[in-house]
Amino acid sequence: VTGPAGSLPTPDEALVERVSRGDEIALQTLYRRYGRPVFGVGLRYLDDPDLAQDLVQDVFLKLWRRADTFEPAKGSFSAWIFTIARRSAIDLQRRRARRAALPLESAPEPRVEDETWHQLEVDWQVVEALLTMDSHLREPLLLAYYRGLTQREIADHLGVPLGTVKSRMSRGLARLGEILSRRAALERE
Amino acid sequence: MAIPMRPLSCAEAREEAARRAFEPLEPHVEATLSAHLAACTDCRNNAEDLQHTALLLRSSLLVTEPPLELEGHVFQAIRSVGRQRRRSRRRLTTAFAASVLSIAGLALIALPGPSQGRGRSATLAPTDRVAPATGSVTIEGPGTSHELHLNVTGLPDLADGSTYALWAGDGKGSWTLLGEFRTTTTEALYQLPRGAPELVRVTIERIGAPPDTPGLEVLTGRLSSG
Repeated sequence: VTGPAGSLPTPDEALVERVSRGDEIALQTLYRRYGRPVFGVGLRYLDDPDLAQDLVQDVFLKLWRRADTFEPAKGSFSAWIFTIARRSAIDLQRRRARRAALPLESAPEPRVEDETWHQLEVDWQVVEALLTMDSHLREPLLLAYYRGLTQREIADHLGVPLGTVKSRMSRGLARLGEILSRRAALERE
Repeated sequence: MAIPMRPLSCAEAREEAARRAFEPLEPHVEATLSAHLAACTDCRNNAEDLQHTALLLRSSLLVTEPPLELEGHVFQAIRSVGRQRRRSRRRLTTAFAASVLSIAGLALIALPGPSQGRGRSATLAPTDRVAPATGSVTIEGPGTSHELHLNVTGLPDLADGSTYALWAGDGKGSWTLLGEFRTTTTEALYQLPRGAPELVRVTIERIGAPPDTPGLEVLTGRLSSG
């Protein structure tokens, strides 16, 4: 999600407040920011593309219904939606297990489960970090890593010189690394 | 691209190291970069950090895109819930009208606005030139904001020397330029001039063209009250 130079993307917290008043367009904007990483959580945890889609639907339905319960003082919107995704994914997993009547021994070990969620939390932080970056540094990274464009193609796509793309990608990667290192250091404290 | 056969500066080495983190370098660039990294501890450490960050990006939760139709399914479910929850006759009527217009294939479709009667919004429908593009605009309630929130996706790549332009119209033939952007997907706030616009459109403009040269209209919408 990007905007032209000088424009400001609407903060998540302002969007969720609008969602709480029934604004579907604000929800659509949040979907375009978080739909993909929620789908990623579903793929990793549930290991089933159809269930991952169910997860996305569950999460955004809950967001639509419960947006008014979000409290910015307690943490970021990103952390909140991750928590919703986590609970929904665990529910979906339990429902799947009940449907399949899995024998007890095939249920996931709690410790493995914790490790999975710890890793997903770390992966979610990469998404959060990307979302906090300036769009002119973020967009070349997204185009390179998730759309598979070469630097030349990115330059054509964005209408900027190749040298600018090189510089932005280098600074963007460095910036992302800094944000992640700082968060890791804060967590260790 | 220019082939750097001479030794790289630290700035060049960092750019090439970032490029190497996601695509193979040409052999001569790789050799020049390796020579620089062998001699420069700072750049070597930087290159290792970049490689690590690139690995995180490659394995991130964003790697796989959900099916395109998922968004439609999610919002269909949400609208169904919304109707059950709110039971607003006006909203239902407007939604029904919108669906009839949609079936009729008309270019302009007024979406139901926010449910509590605030502000104005419009779906930006594509002209026949850019069928996959979609977008929307919203303006908060009168007296609370002079900002227009634009959300557009699926615009075609621009040719060199062109830009997208966002316009607000008074419905009487007068248009005001709100801003320009070059990305094919964008979400941004624009300051509105005085007066409430009736129409919004996105055009492709040639940079440097005379002011009276008409742009190519790609998206258009009429604002309706919520």
